[in-house]
Amino acid sequence: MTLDRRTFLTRAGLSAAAAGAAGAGLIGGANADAATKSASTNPLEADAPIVIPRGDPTLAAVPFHGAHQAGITTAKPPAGSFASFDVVAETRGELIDTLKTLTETARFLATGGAVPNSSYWAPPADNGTLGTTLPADGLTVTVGFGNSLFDDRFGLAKQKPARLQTMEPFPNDDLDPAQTGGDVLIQLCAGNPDTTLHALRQITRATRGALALNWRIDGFVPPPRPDGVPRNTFAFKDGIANPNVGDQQVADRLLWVTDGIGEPAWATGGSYHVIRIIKQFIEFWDRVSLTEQQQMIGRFRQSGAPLDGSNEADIPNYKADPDGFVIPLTAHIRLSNPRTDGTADSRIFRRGYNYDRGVDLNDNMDVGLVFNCFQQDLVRQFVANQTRLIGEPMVDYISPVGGGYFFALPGVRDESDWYASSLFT
Amino acid sequence: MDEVPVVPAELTAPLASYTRYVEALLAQLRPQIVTLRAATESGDLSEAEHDWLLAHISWLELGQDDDAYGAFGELGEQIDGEADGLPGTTSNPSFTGFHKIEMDLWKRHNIKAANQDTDKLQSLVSQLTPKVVNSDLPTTSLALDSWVLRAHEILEDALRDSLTQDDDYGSNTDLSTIAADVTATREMLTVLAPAIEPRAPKVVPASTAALTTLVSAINAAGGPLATRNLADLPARTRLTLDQAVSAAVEALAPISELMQIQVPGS
Repeated sequence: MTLDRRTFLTRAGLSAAAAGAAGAGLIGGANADAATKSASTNPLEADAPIVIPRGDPTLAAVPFHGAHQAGITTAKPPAGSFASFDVVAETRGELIDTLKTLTETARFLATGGAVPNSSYWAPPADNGTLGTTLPADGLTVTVGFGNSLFDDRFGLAKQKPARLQTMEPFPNDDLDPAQTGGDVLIQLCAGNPDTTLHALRQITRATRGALALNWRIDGFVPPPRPDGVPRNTFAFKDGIANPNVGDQQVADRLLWVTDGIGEPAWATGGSYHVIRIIKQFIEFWDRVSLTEQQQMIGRFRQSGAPLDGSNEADIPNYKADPDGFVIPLTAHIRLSNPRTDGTADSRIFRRGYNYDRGVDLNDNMDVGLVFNCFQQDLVRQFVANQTRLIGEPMVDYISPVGGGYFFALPGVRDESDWYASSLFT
Repeated sequence: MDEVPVVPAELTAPLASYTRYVEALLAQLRPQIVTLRAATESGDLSEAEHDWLLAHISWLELGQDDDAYGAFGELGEQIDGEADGLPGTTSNPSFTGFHKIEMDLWKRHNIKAANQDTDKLQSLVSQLTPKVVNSDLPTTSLALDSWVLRAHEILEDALRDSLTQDDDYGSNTDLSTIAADVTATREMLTVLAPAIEPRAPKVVPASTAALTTLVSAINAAGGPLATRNLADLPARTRLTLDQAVSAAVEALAPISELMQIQVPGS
């Protein structure tokens, strides 16, 4: 006779309960027994739960609705999680249903509150890892579409954002197809990694059968050491030079897709989203002299100041150093952002996360950067930046191994709106 | 005397020795490619594989594994570059040289393609004239600073590309590659030793010992001429090999700093 697994568990539970009631059970019974014996005389049996020192455990909710999605210009909290999916739903109608479900799930998670009641006959509706009341914890859910979604499956080809393309390798890349590309990208950011993981579990559960998880990577933002912009795994302050998108004119020129720039109407309010999983060879880096490290980056490691300055916020003066005697012409910051009138509109808005995920085949650590940026025009901005960086001295110490190009959707405007609704109307 | 900066004149003799080393290896490489071409012409796959390996080892002993550090510029890339950064990777027509032939032989068993690609390789290597070789040699202080980096960077490449099998296109000859990298590194160490020893007496002996340990680890894994998929090595053998490479680069790392000519801010 074979027992169905669920039947077996139910029966086991029942019998354990019965045994506990009788005070002679093995598992359930022993626990019930310990709970009633509050004062054991044997010190080896006493419990002392671990205590974790921490500051404010959760962040306030970030508004979910708006012209733009949250998670782009909103504050960058310490935990980031990036997940790429392929759509396995087969029809346009199924895709729309999936997007509506995704919207409802994301809206609820970002808002927080009591988890829904579970039916007595079903598994719990919430995975429970955040308790019975969800803290919003600053969770943002930012959804984007990849080039591959705009094929003939859902009739979206003609609505494809004009600059969207598959990420082809740059000359120094080593892209692994198993962690590159995808139909849908979801970026989750929050105050704590358990919040992003909880959200990803709830999202994958709600969309099971329609969205298949391709690859994922988690990242973190360290605290300032000791102050200013946080450091990357090369120990350099990373993200100092970022355009001021708090200025609406700058945001409309560098960040958001606006009307009249050759994009389909539905895309207004969205932004091109680039993710590059960049492995950093930290063992090799630690064998490099400080001088060489600084020459490659163009900044002082300790202060973050450009090599011609003294504070991290100082603007390098390349005009005064045309031959690169102070900041080499091949320094990362100089190639990436030459600060000329001609390159001002190629600036990108970065929102990177460090990552740390185990051991490589050669017994070195797999750590690096989830390079993450948003821009109005993929080609004019990210691709132009990255093209300038081809062959930079730092390429020996890094290896872009995955990621992709996506189009971050316009915002979900209100309670009745849903992700990409304008694409389907 | 560790505070005494290196002056370019101190590197003249090391560079001359290194030049003779490069010329001798190129003289060894050219007929090996002729032999490889003959094997591909005759259609003998296993002979061609054998000849490919010997020629590739000679190339690697130059210390230019996978065109690391841009030596010989675009030509070096064409001779031993990988396909990773090319759109379409291995199907891109710009993917040429040793690794393309490796793929022809071991993965595709296509001796005719190997023959054509060896023609191309022969023509590329023939462009490595004394003039080109000399233009690769450092003349400025900046270039000398970059040259001395090779003391540890040749094996950094083994760590990054060979131990991960990233540079394998089917031949499973990563042990040969690492062994050739050791040979090239030993040459750098030999020519630089007179300049290093007065400044840091422990560096050369420590590096030499680490390289000896690495050779033992290569031998324990099958030896430099064994074809081994590194993934199939017993775990302990594999970790010993990984650590031997890592320990060698740690021992060698101070050399580039010790040998710098350009002092920042000067």
